[in-house]
Amino acid sequence: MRKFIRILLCSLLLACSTEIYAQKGLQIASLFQKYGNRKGSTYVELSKQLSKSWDITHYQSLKLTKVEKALPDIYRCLNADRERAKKIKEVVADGQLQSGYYQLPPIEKSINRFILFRLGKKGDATLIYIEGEIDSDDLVALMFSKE
Amino acid sequence: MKIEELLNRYFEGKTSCTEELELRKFFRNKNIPEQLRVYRPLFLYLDQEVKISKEKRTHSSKQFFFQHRLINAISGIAAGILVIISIAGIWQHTSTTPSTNYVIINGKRYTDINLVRQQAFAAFQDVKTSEDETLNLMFE
Repeated sequence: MRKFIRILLCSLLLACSTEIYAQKGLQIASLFQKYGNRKGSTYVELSKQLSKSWDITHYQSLKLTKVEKALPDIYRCLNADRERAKKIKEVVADGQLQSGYYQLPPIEKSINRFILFRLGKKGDATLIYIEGEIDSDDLVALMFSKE
Repeated sequence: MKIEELLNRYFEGKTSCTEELELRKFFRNKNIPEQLRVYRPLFLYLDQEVKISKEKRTHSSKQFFFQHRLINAISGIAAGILVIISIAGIWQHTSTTPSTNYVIINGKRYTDINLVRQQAFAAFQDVKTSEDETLNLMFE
């Protein structure tokens, strides 16, 4: 009986710790951490609603003005995270990813997750991570809104 | 004579452990009747074998006890580490979840919500790809 209780307790603890890390298990999280504080970067983290009209509950973005050194890192992380994506749209030119849109499996019932990436023409790049009830159509509308 | 009776029972395979112990004790003595001396080497050998096997059992039970304690200690340490990781994870999760709204520009942090939203929307503008841009890429 004591052995059973011990095994049960260990299993619960293990499940608890892995559950907590599940939603932070994306590789791009390391990019925000590594490059967010640097010169030439703009890092935004927003947990309140981005706007009254859009159901986004968590937002992170990273813009790097000179992305050359960080690009291999960014591609490596995107390659890893795109494995889990259920919808992928990419623009690739000369073998290099120019822009990417990735819809990941939801973490809860209606909490969708998206990764957006764009390599600018001036050697800059922008990476965005979004969580919320917003769906892909609304996200596209948001991207093209002038709000 | 009792010993002779025990001997007969021993060779018939009818002796109990206590009776065999009695036989071994008897044959440890040096003063035994002449007619029974022929059995002394046998029971001395058996006595030695019993001692050796008792020593082995004691040693292996000590080893087992030590291994058992080691396994228990290692599992206890592993469980403790797991508890610490879980607590750290819960703390990290709860400490970062409620309203973290800020922007870091060139290493400097700002918490003005309007600035944060402005920068967030600016990032959206950066990731837009229009149809024209896509067509240009295709036909460059």
